[in-house]
Amino acid sequence: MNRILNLIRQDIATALRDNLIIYMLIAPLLIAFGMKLFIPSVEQAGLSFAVADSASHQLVEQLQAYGTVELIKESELQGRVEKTDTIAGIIEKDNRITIIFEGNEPQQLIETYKAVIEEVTSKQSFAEITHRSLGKEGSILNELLTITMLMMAMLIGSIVSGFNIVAERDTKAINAIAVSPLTALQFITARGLLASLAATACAIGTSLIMAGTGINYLQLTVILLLSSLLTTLLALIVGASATNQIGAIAMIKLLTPIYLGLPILAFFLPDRFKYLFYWLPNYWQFQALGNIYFRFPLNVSLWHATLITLGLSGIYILAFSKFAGKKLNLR
Amino acid sequence: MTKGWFNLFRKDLVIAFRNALFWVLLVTLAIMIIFIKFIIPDSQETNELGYFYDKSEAGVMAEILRHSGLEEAYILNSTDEIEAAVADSPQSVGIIFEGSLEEPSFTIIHQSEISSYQRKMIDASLEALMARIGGVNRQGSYEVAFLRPQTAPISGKLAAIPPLLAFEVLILGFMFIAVFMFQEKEEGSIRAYRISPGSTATYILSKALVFLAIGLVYGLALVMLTIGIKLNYGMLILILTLGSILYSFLGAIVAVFFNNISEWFVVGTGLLMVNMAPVISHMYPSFSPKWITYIPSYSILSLFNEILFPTGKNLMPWIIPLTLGTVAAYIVCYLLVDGKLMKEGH
Repeated sequence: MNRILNLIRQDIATALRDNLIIYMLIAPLLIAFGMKLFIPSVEQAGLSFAVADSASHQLVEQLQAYGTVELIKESELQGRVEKTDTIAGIIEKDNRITIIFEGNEPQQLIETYKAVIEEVTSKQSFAEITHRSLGKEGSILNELLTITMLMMAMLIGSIVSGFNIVAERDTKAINAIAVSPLTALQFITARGLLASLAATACAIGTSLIMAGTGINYLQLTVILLLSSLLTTLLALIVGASATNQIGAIAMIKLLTPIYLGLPILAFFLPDRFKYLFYWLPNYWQFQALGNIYFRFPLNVSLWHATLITLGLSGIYILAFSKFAGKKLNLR
Repeated sequence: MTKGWFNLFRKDLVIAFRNALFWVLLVTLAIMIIFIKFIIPDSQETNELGYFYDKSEAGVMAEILRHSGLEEAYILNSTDEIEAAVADSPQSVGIIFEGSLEEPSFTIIHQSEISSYQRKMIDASLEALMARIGGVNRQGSYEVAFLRPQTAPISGKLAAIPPLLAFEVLILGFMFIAVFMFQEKEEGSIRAYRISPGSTATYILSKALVFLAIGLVYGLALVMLTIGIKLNYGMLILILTLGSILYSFLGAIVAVFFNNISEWFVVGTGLLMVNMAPVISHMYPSFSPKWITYIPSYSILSLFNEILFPTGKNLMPWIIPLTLGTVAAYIVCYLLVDGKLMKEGH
């Protein structure tokens, strides 16, 4: 145990010297904070109208109830509609309205614009409409981004630990460790412990920013700690497969879409494709976190998903540690 | 100069491929192609209207919706079922119809409060639907004009390609130019370069061109193996070229402020995440605030969209700022690399 703690102490000293821990802890939190600021504006977004300034004040006011209105000269209207964002041009002349589209808008959006114009020009109501909320406040975008940010925090923890191993290989310091009494298992434990603790702290901070105090932090902490083997596995993959920084970044480039991208993609895919992801521990980690953050039930319970994450990571780490031990010349 | 540049280019290319980059790109390319071709569905398999319950005695609205193609699974039998379905699926809404076609009444059920804009849009769409069902023509009060002929909707699977080109292919240079610079600092080869006849421009351009060459092969392979050969490859090559070298210059600009990959990593990743923000505008077209349009990937994403799925739009208003941005990035990159990297006491 002393050997493990010594290695952790040594890593912390190096990380503090390079301000690494500060970067590691602060950056995801800053990104989370930035996201939190703009998510509401994504979800509140209405339609956009570029209205020729000859339009009546009444029309402009009515359109403002459906989104943002830019008043511009009629001669500039075409140029505005052609810009990259999705905006419809509106010209009102002789009590007649022309809606101008570029031609690349989705049909559903065109129909919505048409319905809005019909609504503002019609004096007749065809239905009585009321809205009711089930009161499950939240935002799917916010929840999805929270889980993504949490997993990113875990990934950063792994990567920084992986970099430490690569630096030791690059500077041949690993040779000194190889002849020390430290075994491969102790080495992996030390690397994994530090990465997991740093990543857990960072992930909890990220969650506080993105989701506030409304979730069960005890459950979250347990999931994050039980994901330690996955964090360790990622650190080990980076550290054992790369001998220098270029190789490490190449490996991270491959791991990032597999670790972060695939579970998110699986979320959007129909259920019949989900089994393709069952072999990935990070798919189950996403499901476990989803049980905490999503307001809707998932197909797998929190504890089942957590245990599968732990089990699969354990199997992979056992299989990989032999290769890693050889690569790192550890006993 | 040319020989020196070529030697440096060749050396960087060899280093790139010696370090597993080739295999990483090959595996990533294979994963992307498998997902695009076989896994991502062609269209969203969701019901845009949501769940529906016809509470009226005649049940006429449910019949109309069945005839218009709404699947039976979305037509429910009680308010409780509607509430349970909406509770399970946050993206959907529940619609309860009461009354008659002459005097319809709708209750729209959401999981949580929605914005007043969204509420008004749903109201307008339902009013339009009821007007049409009632045979009232409200379309005489306006006309619709298109600047260019309407284009067919983009297949769901192919829509993933522009973001992959922008956020997977082009950013290679951003990441790897930094790693190359740190590696050279650590190995001391940058010191040797400082006293060699090689110029700062040669140093920057040789690296940018390595990632341009890799990016071109990677990007073109992705497009050819997914979309095919019937598109404007000249324009695609131009944008891949401008994008690749722009991101390499930006990568070098950021990297000169750090000493090693560990220090750079979190800041570099953070910047790459900011660079990905325009994908949100790509997914939610009505969300395009001014600040997001200043991120280079915003224009690049639009350019890839237009090149891969042409609508006849003039590309020059995007290409000119992108070219000017690349030139400006080169100047800043040159000044920083020359002032910091080539003169530092490392």
